[in-house]
Amino acid sequence: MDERREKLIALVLGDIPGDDARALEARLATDADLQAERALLENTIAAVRAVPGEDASDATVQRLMKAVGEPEPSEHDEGIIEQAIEAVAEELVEDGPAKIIRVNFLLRRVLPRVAAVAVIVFVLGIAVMFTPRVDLAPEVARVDGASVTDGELVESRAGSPRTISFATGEVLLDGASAVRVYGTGKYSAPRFEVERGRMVLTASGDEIQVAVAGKNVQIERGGMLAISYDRAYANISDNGSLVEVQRMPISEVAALAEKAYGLKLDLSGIPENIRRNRVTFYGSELSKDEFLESFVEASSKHGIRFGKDQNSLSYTGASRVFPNEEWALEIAVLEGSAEVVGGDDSVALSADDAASNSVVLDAAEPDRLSPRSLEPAALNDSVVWAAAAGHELGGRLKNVRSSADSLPGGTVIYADKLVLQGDMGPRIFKLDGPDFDFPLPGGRKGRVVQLMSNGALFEVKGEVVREFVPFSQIKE
Amino acid sequence: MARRTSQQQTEKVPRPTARNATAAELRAIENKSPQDRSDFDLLKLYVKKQSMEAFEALVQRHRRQVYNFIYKMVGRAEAAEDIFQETFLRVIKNAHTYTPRAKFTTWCLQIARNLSLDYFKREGLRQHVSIDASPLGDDRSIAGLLQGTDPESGEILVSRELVEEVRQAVTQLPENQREALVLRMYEDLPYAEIADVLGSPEGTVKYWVHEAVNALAKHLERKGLK
Repeated sequence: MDERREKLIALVLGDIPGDDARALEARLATDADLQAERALLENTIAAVRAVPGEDASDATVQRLMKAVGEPEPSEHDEGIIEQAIEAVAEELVEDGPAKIIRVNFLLRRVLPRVAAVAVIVFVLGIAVMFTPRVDLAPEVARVDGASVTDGELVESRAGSPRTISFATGEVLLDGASAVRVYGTGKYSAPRFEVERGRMVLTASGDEIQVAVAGKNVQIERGGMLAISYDRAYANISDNGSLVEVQRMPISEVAALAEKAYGLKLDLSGIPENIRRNRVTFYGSELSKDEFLESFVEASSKHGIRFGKDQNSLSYTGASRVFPNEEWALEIAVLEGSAEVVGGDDSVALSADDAASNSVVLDAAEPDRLSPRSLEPAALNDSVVWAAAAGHELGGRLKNVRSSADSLPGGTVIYADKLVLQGDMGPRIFKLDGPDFDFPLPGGRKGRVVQLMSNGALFEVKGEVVREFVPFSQIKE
Repeated sequence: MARRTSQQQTEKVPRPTARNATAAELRAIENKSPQDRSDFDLLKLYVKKQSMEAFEALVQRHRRQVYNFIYKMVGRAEAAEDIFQETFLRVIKNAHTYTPRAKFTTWCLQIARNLSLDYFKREGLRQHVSIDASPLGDDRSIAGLLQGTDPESGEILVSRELVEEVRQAVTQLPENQREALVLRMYEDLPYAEIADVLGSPEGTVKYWVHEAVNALAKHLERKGLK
């Protein structure tokens, strides 16, 4: 294998150090032959991974269990006392005269152990006496290796999906989501109350009860359900390390910006009804200017631009009317079946019934419980973010493979530290979009045509060139 | 009889095996919820309390990974089932010797690998034939299979014929490349763990995986994949 091929294989498998990868990506950006070679390798790896995994049949497992049966006590299954007797016997046999050795044995081996145990018991006793009583709440699930106790709120931050696991299933939380977990018994699934965000719930071994937006959902055993509860919410840390703005009115975002960044924005040029329009954007480590830029970009669809200076916003009068409800809820069955109950109404959803596999509600019509039909592609889109770090849900995504693919607006994929967001957020990559609107180093603007693991390939406005720009430079 | 040295006495300190689990440890394990019990916990319950429930939990936890590895190695369902059963019977037989210095999956895959190699020897099968010997024959190229498909949609990558082509090609890779590729691509094991299973240096394992990908890419390229 030649060196060039070896390096390309290492690149597509992620086996190459960051600096070498960047150098190779830079070469790739301008070398068509190299790009073709990489495409071949990526397609080969995709084809290899497409070979389905095999599992032993249940009959095979049953035969195994039958073959094992109820075993006789193992020859190795001596108890503690028997082992101790054996150890003593070995000492007596292997070491000189019995009387002397017994004394040596007692002095060397037994007495220190007895003394150690006595000391430990004494110390523990003292510790127990002086330790304030703590009522340990029972663990009802685990998240990232830590216990989740009854009634605990589990939150995820923007860009960081989390998985809640329990004995009979799991819940995969997208970033900027929150769910409260209640125990229902040691071996049964917890009950969940969705506060906000997107999640996929898998009921592998037991049904799951979920409360969301005043509705109760029961996922049958074997079912998998995607919930998107997009509701007004904001979390802006004082230093801008985390920015989560979701469906918040423009006027309230401006007030939050003043509190977090000391930004005094003049909104007097914006009509009152436009200020009530809601915007969504996310970010991390945003400076004051970056926050403002993100805010204005998210508000631009409502006709808002910067005014004469960076402290005032103006209204162009050119906005279209967008849905502006405080919340919207989508529930879609990905596998198995579920039932959604609200008041006296209920809707049965089934993945096998394309005509009724989902429910869509919003604050304007909170009780419209009627089944909807989502195409398979739309179902996949609803869990596209779950491709995070090779999660098995990512396996559903037949049409989203490499970073060279076009992605629909709203698509969010997390891959290592790369966060690719559709039409929201401070980093807006519009693949194959019509606009050269992404700011590049040097004050130029470009259009993203391909995303890579550590940067993006841009078509630069006004030039007939494609240019690879590492993410680190884009952020600057 | 010679007296033991202090070094020899040090070696007599019991290793943390399932056999050496104390009653207190077992009580602590039983108080854990099922999903929190480690593989080692389950082995202790089986060895010390003959808990079939624990053993079944262990099998259920690893059945897919172990069977998939065996199947991808031998390529025959009937043989894979036999080796799968024998693997877990060996696990039982040697459970008392297992120490958590190695991950249970590593140990289990080592057993499965050895049994798969035994199978090849016993059956007198060739472990490696040229992957040019396509199951599709010369008259059915990949390019032919691509006709009528949308190259942008990715459908080609999941077409049944192509999957079968790749599956067959993988079984015809040299044994060490096949083992390394299967553990990396299908079991998602890190290179360090694959090195433990195969008993080879990590760098060598990485080289085998790269060689395997290169061989498959060449094969598919000859068949018309771009």
